[in-house]
Amino acid sequence: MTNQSNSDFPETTAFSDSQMDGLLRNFFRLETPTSWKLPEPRQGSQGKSALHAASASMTILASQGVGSSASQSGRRGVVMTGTLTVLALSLVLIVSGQSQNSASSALNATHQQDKATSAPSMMLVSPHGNSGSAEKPVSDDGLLLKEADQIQLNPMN
Amino acid sequence: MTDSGPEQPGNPTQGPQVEQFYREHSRELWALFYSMCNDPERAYDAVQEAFVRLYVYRGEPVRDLRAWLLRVGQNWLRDLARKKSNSCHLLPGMDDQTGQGVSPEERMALAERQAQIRGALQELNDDDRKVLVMKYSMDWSAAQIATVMDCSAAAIDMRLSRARRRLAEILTERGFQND
Repeated sequence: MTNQSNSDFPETTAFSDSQMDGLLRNFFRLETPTSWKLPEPRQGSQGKSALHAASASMTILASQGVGSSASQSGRRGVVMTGTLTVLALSLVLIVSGQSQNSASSALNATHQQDKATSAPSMMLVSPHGNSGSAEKPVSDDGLLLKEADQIQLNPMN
Repeated sequence: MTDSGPEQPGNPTQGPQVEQFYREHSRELWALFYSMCNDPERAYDAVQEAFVRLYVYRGEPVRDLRAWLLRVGQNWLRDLARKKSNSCHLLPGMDDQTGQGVSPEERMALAERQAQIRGALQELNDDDRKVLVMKYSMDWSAAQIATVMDCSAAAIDMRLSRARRRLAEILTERGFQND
């Protein structure tokens, strides 16, 4: 309807409807302050300009419209941030748990090794080996371990 | 200056809010002021004036910023018209052409052409002019204009066609040459 044919205009005018359309577009392009110039209209994109959203708020309170969309996107943002934080925390916990396990097992192994190396070597006190009982003789003459414990060892001069 | 803006001081409108609103709506306000005064520079001044007044406004909370700014700008334009202040202002398109290799003659011809069309627009009734401004300055669809003008999109299409035809008649009468 906007682009009518030439026949719609009476013959008294020297301009067709499409000529007027171009003339007015050019005129308002020059009239509009530079900072507010719209991008060149694309084919088939009429009415879908960046100001489409602005026009939608013509009938409602602009501040309310902006506020509600902002709060919606804000809520979405909060949910996304929360989810990401939880995921990141669980990842940190898993990784730290794994590293703790490996650290403790490594520590245990080192400890065992240390124990093995630092433990005093057992000295057999009886030719019969470790009797395990104080009542068993630890020598050929029938000396008991109990008695051997009571032997006072004095340094020899 | 006398009757523009609410009278009561004390407004909570914050700077960032005003800035955001300026980014989103200043151009629309300019177009609406332009349709009132038919002068791009004056319409621009009206937008600036309205936002400056909003910025310093300390009255009751502004519930509808757009309506408030429209009212302030409209009153400012009305005051200006009452004073018949024809202060010197840039010719339209001059700033756009500056430094782009356009000769002074071409610039003057362009300014003359713009002035002729502006004069012809002035001859239209307010609604026809407003419809043309919204269509060609804002690039709004008939449906969008219909929302503002409170009528059907079909009615807007008809009005647009009629306004273009009437403008063509005026330009023809004035011997306007479309190059």
